[in-house]
Amino acid sequence: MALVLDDYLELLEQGYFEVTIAFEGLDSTKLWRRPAAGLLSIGEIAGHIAYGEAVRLACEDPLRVVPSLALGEEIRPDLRSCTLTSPLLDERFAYYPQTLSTAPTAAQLALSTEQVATELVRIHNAAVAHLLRAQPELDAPLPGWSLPWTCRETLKYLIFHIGYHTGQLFSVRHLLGDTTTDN
Amino acid sequence: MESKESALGGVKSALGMFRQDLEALPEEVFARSLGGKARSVADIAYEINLVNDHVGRSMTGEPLFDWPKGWITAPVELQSKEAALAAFDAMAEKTLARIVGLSQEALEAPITTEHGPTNGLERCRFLALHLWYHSGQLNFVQTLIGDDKWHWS
Repeated sequence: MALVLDDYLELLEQGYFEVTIAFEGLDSTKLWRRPAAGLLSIGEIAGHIAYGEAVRLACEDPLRVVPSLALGEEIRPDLRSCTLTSPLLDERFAYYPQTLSTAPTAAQLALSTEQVATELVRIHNAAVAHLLRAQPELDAPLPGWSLPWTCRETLKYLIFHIGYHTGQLFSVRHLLGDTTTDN
Repeated sequence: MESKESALGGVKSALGMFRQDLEALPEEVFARSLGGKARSVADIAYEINLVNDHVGRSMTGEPLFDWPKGWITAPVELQSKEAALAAFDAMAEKTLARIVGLSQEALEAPITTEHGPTNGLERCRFLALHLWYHSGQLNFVQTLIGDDKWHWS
């Protein structure tokens, strides 16, 4: 017996419900502020969450060798094949070291707290819709993804991923001096 | 419906990750609060124990304790790394034992919490989600003090 697709999507929805709480009352002037050396801003973590879901659920092509800001080149999803576009869908958000080593673009820095929170949910909804259009089998390889990951494993990972980083969003706010509704 | 083995495996994995993150942190951060606004590592570990105990009780039908008011803070005797780890280990073992002791049917049986109707399998998934959320925060503290390595094996 195992969970069905709707169970995983429901858990993912819970994650997105919680993540939006992390943006409540956040002053936009703090959105892109790194709280300390070596730590990412709330906007950057949001970008990472969005990137992580979009490249898994909404890309047309499998992994390929692509230019990497941090490593020169590496094997990972090609964002150019993603069916979604957004200021949050940027290679610099792929992984912590390269996010840390590059500054957000002017377009990203211009986004307000409300815009980033809205964009994060919009990307999630569109990525899930893209996945559902492919009518995925939970235990078959994820459509458009060449690593030996099934749809089930990918959804389990994404549920973990958003929970993990939501905790960190609250931590950034605490370091920036905010009192939050969750901790 | 999810199997007991799957639910148990999810909780066990999340407990193991949290344990490794806790172990990787140095003594000096256990009683330190991020920005003066967050719970300390010891506080987080203590809250994890309380949540695991409360949820475990709701799954087995044991009497529930009243949930503390306000943000959870660890008692003085659990603010050292050694004590926090020992308390975490004890509750992790108890939590897993509670799940092991329940049959598939018992895990599927409806239970009611303050948030509404649910069942033991859903509660197991909540336990894992809650642990992941706070694992992210432990890793954040770890990075803040200059350690950006993964400690999960």
